[in-house]
Amino acid sequence: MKKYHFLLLLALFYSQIAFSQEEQSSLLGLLGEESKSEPVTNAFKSHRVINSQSMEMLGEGALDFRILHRFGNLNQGYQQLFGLDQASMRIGFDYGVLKNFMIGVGRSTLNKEIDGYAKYRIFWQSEGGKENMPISLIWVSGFTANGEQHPFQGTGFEDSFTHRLAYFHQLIIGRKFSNKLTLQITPTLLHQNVVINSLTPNDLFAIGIGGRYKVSQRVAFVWDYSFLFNRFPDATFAYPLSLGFDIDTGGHVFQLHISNAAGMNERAFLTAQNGSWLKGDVKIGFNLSRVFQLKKNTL
Amino acid sequence: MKKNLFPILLICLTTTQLAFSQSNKYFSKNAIISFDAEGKLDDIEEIKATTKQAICIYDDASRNFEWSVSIKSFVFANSLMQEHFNENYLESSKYPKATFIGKIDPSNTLTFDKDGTYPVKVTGKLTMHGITQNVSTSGMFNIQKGIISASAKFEVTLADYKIDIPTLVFMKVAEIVKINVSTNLQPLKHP
Repeated sequence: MKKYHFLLLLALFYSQIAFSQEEQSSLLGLLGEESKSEPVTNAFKSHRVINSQSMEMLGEGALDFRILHRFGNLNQGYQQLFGLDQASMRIGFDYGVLKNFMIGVGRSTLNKEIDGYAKYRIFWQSEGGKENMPISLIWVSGFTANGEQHPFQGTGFEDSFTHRLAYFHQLIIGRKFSNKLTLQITPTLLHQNVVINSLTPNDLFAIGIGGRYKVSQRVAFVWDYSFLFNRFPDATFAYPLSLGFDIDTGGHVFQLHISNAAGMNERAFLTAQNGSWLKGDVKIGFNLSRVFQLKKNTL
Repeated sequence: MKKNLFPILLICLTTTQLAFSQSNKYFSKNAIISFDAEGKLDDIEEIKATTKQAICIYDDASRNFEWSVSIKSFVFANSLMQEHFNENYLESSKYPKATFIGKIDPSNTLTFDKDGTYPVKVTGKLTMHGITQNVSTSGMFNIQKGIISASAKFEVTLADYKIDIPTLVFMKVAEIVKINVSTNLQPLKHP
């Protein structure tokens, strides 16, 4: 009798356990799958904010054919159709070599300048896991070469290749704060082999501040500003500031903006005699980009 | 007294037995899901993607079958397309997962210890892009020398999940997307 009681209790107890296990709401929970930390994508719609490099990279095997276009100054009035009569452009190709490495070349009509760069992602912002990377960190190094026939006329400098060169190095520290807001700061060092004025330093230190705010699913407001620490004393030129919209049309991204910088590579927009926003010394510009997938992604 | 207790004891013991035998569950952590969203416009670029990182679990007792997949794990041939898929269509940062919580029709024959092909009917709820819809399809279980595999094909209408196709690319992306799922299943060791 006592024996039965014990057995009964035991049996009740076991069925209890077995049933409570059965009642687990989701079967998937049994797999004990932990959410993994995944890289944050689409911090910007494009690998350039407007003029400067963004924390975004091209995917592996993607070739971006890119036309950057800047019209003349807006304040020239209706006679010049608000600057639309003049145009300056840069044609470029960018290629994603690896997931975290891309390269690019381009040529601008301004100074007939050729530029090239390499961009490497050191850290990629991630989310969703236990240990996430809070920021993306990207290194960019590049050069520019003046392609004019006689760029140093009347200055005593020889038109040698080394004289034409300038180099830049940047560290992009960026974070996508929310689906809408992305901010990045970009400490930059620019070295010009030749500067025309002896008071102008060969090594220029600058800091770029760029960001975007998504207005809708396919339209984003973007801005791009650079501050220079040690340029020619008492220079009256404005620091480059560009404001614009990124419009995602499905196959490509169309960037429409207003900028006081005429240059479309790092040397050009950092050192050029940029006009004043307050005086309307700004230009309408657009970037057109078409991406081709040269190497297909596979699983 | 003895007589009164005995049946209760028996019932309890049998239910215990039942409950334990019910825990024959099968799972996979590398199930394959692919889809084809090729639209009317015959483009050079195909709109297809695959993932091998879906997880699923099947409980043979309750016949519940559950799936989950990370949207970001889908790989497209074209990187930009993959970006747009995540950013503009499925909004994967907002809705990182798609899940299916379903059941296999209890009237279908399905025995795991006998080799063969078992067609089954599956009904359940598919959640993606933050929206849940009822889905029903026919699938197939295949048991061959103890190796269990399952597969199914079904279609979803993007509008049902509030996935907008912008007018500019309307012809390229299909309004109804074909989805293929397949997996091998292995027994889950602990219940």
